[in-house]
Amino acid sequence: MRVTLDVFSGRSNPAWDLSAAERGELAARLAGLPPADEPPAADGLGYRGFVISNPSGEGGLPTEIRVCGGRVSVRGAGGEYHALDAAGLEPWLTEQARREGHGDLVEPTGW
Amino acid sequence: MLVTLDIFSGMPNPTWTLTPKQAKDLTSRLAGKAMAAADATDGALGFRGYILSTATDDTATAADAGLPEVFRIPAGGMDGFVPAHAADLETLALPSAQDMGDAAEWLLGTGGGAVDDELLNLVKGMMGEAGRAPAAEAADAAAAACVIQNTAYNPGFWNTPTVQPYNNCYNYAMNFRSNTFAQPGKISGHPNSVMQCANVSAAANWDGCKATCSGPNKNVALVVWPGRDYHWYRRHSNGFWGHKPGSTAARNTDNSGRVIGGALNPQNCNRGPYTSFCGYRFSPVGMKVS
Repeated sequence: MRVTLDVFSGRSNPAWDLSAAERGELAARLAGLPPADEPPAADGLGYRGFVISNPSGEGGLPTEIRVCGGRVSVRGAGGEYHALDAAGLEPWLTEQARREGHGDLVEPTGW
Repeated sequence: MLVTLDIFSGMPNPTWTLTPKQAKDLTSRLAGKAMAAADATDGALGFRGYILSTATDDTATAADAGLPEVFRIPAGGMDGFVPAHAADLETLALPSAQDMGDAAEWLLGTGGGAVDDELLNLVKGMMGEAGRAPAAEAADAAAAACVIQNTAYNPGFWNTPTVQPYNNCYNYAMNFRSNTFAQPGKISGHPNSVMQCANVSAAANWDGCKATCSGPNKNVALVVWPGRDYHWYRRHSNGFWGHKPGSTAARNTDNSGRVIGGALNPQNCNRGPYTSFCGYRFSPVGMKVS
């Protein structure tokens, strides 16, 4: 499962793979999220959140998860739904981004 | 029209006034072209070009020709060209190095009463060293007149599932759907990894996107998130600018949701972290990227 930090316009976005343990944690964090009326507000130049891609539906997890600004968009076999990020997915992914050396891309610096 | 020969460091620069006929001649020479800002100079010692001031009773003629009230004819070449008004580059053609060299040489011929022969000859020599365009390049540039051909805004072409994810800002600005998330310099064999204005500009230059206009071109603009990324805009015939942030949808609004048109342009709109405005450039119609 591939995590993409959606931030760039010209260059390809930074990306990394989730470990087996992280996939398990992802499943736990996705369970029981309260519904949201709208998808994540991820648009324009600069930081646009994270996209987790799982095209094969590995582990029974959704095929695509988008996380930004406190909201989550989940797409899978059952269709698509929006939820509130009550389980801290975005901070968790942000820590991963920092670990991968992309901390400066997730921290707004007085744009 | 007042001419100032920008050459001295300590002494006041020589100045003289063009005759009405000379002013008219110069205006005709420069009409329709964007002029350099009067203060756009690297401050080098020696000949730095001419500063023209149209704040005289022939202002009306110059203004009709689209010339700014004060502007510079640079010493040599078009490197680091800064327009007197940023918006001029959206509507006026960029002069070639040959245009500027010819104007500089012509102006030198008008200064006989105010500049002694020794200084005139010195400037003539400095102009020769100041990097005018080589004859061949000048001939090529003169061979194809600049024609701006911006196309109408058509986001529907880009914002479909089979196109949007695979084409980025560079694809959009150069108007070429490669489905490769194109990178400046790649198609011409000069890839770049340094995210600064000069480097991205140079890479795009290799691909054909230049600071000067020859033949049919579209207006584009480059901005940079210093050290991180680049972004491009393209002007549309509708009178505003469009862009495509990465794999997101093409749009004509900035990060504040405002249409990038009228008083708003790529230089002064909300660009998020892309804080360096590198300048306006020209992308030849039919230019390909990969």
